[in-house]
Amino acid sequence: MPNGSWKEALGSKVPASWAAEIDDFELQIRLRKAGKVDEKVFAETRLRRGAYGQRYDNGQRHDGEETRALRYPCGELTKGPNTVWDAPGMQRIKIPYGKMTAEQLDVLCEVAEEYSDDILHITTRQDIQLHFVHIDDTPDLMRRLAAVGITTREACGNTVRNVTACSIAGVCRDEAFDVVPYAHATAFFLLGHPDTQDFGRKFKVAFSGCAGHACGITGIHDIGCIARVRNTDGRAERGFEVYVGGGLGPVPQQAQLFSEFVPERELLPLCQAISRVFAAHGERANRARARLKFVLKKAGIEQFKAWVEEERAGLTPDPRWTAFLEDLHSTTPRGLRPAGKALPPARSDAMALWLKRNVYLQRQPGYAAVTIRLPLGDLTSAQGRFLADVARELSGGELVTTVDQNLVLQWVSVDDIASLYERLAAKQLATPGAGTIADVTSCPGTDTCKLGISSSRGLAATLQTELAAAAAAGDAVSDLHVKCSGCSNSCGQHHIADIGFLGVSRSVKGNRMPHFQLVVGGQWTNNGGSFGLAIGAIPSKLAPTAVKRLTDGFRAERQPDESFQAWSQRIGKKALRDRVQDLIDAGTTNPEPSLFQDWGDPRTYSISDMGVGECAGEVISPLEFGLAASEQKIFEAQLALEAERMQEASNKARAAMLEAARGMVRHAAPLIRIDDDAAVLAAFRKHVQDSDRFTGLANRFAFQLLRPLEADVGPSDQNAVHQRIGEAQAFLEAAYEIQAQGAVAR
Amino acid sequence: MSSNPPDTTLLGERLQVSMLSEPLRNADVDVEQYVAVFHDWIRQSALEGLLIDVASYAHVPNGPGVLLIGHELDYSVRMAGHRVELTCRHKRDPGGEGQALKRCLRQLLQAAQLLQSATKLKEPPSFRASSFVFRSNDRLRCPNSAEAGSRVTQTVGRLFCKVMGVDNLDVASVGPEREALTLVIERPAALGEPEGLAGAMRRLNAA
Repeated sequence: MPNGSWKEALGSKVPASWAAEIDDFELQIRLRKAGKVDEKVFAETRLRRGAYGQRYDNGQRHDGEETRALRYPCGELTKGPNTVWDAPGMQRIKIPYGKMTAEQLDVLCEVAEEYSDDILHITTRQDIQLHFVHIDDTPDLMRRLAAVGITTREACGNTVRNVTACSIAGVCRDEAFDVVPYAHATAFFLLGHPDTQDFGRKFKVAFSGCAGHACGITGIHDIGCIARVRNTDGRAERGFEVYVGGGLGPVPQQAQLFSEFVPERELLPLCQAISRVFAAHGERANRARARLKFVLKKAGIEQFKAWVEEERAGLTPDPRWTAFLEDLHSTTPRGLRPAGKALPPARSDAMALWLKRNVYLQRQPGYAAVTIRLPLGDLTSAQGRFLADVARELSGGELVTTVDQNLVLQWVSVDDIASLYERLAAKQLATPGAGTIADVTSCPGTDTCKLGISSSRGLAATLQTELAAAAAAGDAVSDLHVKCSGCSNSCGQHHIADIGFLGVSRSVKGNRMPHFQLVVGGQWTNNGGSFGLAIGAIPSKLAPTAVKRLTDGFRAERQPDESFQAWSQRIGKKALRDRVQDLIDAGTTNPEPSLFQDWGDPRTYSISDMGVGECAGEVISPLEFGLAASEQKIFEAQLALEAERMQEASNKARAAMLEAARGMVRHAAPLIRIDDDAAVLAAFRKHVQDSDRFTGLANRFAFQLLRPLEADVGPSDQNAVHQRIGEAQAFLEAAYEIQAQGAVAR
Repeated sequence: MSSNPPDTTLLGERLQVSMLSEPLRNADVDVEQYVAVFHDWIRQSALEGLLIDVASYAHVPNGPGVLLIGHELDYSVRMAGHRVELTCRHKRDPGGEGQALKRCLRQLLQAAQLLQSATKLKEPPSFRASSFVFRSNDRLRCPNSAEAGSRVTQTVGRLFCKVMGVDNLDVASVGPEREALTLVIERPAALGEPEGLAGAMRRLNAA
């Protein structure tokens, strides 16, 4: 029988720092199982590795008749508050700016096949999500991805989430320049950066090559960067128009202009400074008001700018701020095949629509970017492997996920378009109508999300089918965007759709009925330029009828060149509501029994399956993280001692004290720079050891045990190492005492 | 095939077995009708192990169809032409090492028996123990290599011979190397009409 593990099998293919992080996470799993890590700390730890909760993970499920317990074998063990260990979860995988290589897609397909349900789900933020994954499988899953250059670090939790960008960046005819190298630099500069580790909430960054299109939807991000070129002394200078504080959710907020032009060399320090302002001024107690948009709302843009400028002025220069500028085009792919002459003629109506909607002629003559339309963003492993092969053969070996939950192949020679269409059609991957009204996007909703209220995917699947003819019609209705969210967190981005749906429920005759709030007139273009108006809540099963009424009305009443948004504003909210009032009323006046069921689910509808969401993560203080890291190091020290690796055991014991000290310092002085061990020691002495705030601690003597670096000569005999581990434990206990007394105040 | 008991420990826990139904009379079967059946199975605890939820991927062309998600095993149904393809996917084995394949096959046969009598289906499928597809979902233990393929073929073939009550079966490895190791197991046509599921289940329990 073959032995070994993925850790051994992959060896040095996993970058050392990523391997150490995953080893740490695996150890955290062991410690949690041993009861040595608090469930909240573990929850935020796993969220920061992208391991998310999923519906029914509280161990209960409504089966249509009653709520029953799901008796997992793990018993009482949890992986977070009210989150059962054995319950299947979702693994979110960051794909920075959506771009992945064919090799990466191959491995994504493998892990989907082995640890998930054979489906890769593309999200509205260009991530890939796998569902029904067991937490015990996640370390190996992460190793296999890391071996091909994918990290799941900070895919969830109160961190910088996936940095997104236009899916046609680099080949777009309208972009000022290719934003991919900037998005790449930003993603990896902020990943794990000390200044991004103490947020009260998540933080999202997006790039767009132009202001007009919606590929980057910068208007709904915490930091949105639009490429600009200005003329400075006769020289073209690259930079960004920067917006801040955008976001959707229950309280959508358009991003505000921070600067009309930030030179490219200032991009990373600006992101760092904004991160520090968010860490310092962001809300922590009230999770509903903890995003950056609320800092802006409270302080105002001018005060916010002043804070950022102050932080920027105090930053220690970092060579990474500008290093990437020297190699700007390293990530730019080129066509594998010679440039073609012309697009082929259509051989069918379906191909004609596909050529029109799914094929985009690049600014590089003779090449096209081709959109593979995926139903609800879902792709099987077999389809993924097929597309990876196509990418290797035809398009430079790369694919890009889109915010529309599709995939793009760039750099396809137009001479290969006909054969590509045939190959895609043979695999049922040539669905036409990308970017049309039929290309409906949706969050996971009640299918898998703990917060889902209505079945956004069920509704989206129905609309995709019912709107196929409208997409093919080629009129103004074809261009509309429909988006569905299962709850007010707005992951389906319904606010910026022409027609959006937001999952809600209503109580009718003592029973719950699934509904969707109809939101009309949002703007998808101009990077998500404005938000729609809520019209009224319609029973879920009647939502497609509302779409038909609105689209029929728009088609009939539209003035020349009038957009849907302009039309809806012209006729007004009351008139829009009047058109669907009978649908709204149908939920309350002698409702059909079928209205008490949601799309794709024969169970009688219930909201009892809703759980506590993990979008907001857990607010874990730096002190708590420091204590958990310290526990882990002590555990590792004990293992090393048992294996008689004395020097390693001694080093780990000392590292345990440093982790606890770092946590105490970070909590006492959040914005202080502590880049290395010497800085930790110095800051610990100043802010903790020599502070008169801690004189009352019984364990205060233990602080003396953290000795300067020069005194740390590792002992070589077992007794001395044993003593060192005991000292680390005593030091950790002192830190716990501080935590218990709340003595470290901000 | 050898008559020795097959050593199935080499297969690990992650594997799946599929079987096809006899052709249905109705060509336009909506696989979504299985959603209600699977919800009933959860409510009735109709199968061994913890059953958790139903996931429908009916919208995905050539996708996994409708899934019944469990803790130890998943079940899925999709249409393959006029036939129903039923798959049982084994994920983890609390019952002890080496039992995964037997357990997976037993649960597959049990699920097939349940589907044959599912009253909510317009045309319940009918299954016979004549052909199966085995797939390993563990590239570490069972990579799709010639060496591993030969080893796994022996092991899997021996168990299926016992279950199908024959001395020899046609077992062929299919698919390129980067795909999961997949074996197609066919009862030779020369052996005559295959039997129903009950006999296979009886022999499996005795194996």
